[in-house]
Amino acid sequence: MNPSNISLFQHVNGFSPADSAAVLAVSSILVSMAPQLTDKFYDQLLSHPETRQHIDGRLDMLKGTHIQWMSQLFTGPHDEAFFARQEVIGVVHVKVKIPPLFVSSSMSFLRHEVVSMLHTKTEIGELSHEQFEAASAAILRLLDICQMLIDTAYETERLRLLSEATGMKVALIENLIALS
Amino acid sequence: MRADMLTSILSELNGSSADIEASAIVSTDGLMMAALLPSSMDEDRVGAMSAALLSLGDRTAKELARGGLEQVLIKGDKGYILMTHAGEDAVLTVLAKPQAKLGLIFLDVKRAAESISKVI
Ligand code: HEM
Repeated sequence: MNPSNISLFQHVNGFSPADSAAVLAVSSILVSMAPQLTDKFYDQLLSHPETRQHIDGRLDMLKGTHIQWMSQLFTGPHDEAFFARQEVIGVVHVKVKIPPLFVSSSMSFLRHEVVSMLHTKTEIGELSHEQFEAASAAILRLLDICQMLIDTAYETERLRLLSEATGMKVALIENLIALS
Repeated sequence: MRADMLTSILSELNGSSADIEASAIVSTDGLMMAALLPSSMDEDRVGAMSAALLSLGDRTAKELARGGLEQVLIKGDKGYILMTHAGEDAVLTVLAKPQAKLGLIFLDVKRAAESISKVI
């Protein structure tokens, strides 16, 4: 995605260097949560027959990939390369035919779980209230950016596939959409 | 300058047969390059639809082993729409009356498409 669109999104959603710092400040706690968070994430996906069928037979591999993704999310840097990586993740999901609904719903699950786990850490005194507030707000913003980039990759990839199937240039498809 | 030349090719084409009612030159992205259309017609719509149909025609002809596309012809009860490539990057769209003699129109359109491809 055009970097100026990412910075527009960040400007409006409020993700700032202070947010990145708030995540990094508690990154060791966040990274320690990653395996449990990943288990919950896949338990949730395994609990529905439609999401399950994409995971069966490759659970361990996917868990490893997911923990790695979360570690990057929690340790940064939240820079251009990080954002570019999220777009690639979108493209991979389109290629393996994961419906966007599955990604957005699982991202929604993740948002709730991260905040809930951070809250528990605050209750047992591992995090201060200020750290909890700052880190959870920052992670929610970050996850929104990740989802936007994954969604955008889906849209781009779907346009590309339509273009490939019909022979219509992507610019033409955009012009057709603009007619309505 | 180029737009004027394209419009004059369209003008000549429309004048070549009383059966030709309108014509337009569109980029393969669907943007209008030159048009002699009735004012009631939306140029953006004509442009995007012509380019889309020609692209689909191209692809269909290839997929169904009909070779390189020469033209796409649509027949409605109020007349014809004929689309053809004008060089690599443009589409020539022509609207003709229902009783039009297509053979003659095909020839005129082919000639016009060649002239357009030289200008573009
Ligand atoms: C929050 C949402 C999700 C995130 C952040 C995520 C993350 C990732 C990452 C980082 C990869 C590796 C991409 C690469 O190879 O470069 C991946 C691949 C994959 N993910 Fe997800 N994923 C999400 C949701 C889902 C869902 C909902 C499913 C299925 C129901 C799924 C199934 C897969 C599959 C099948 C692969 C490809 C594995 C392969 O064959 O290489 N993912 N995901």
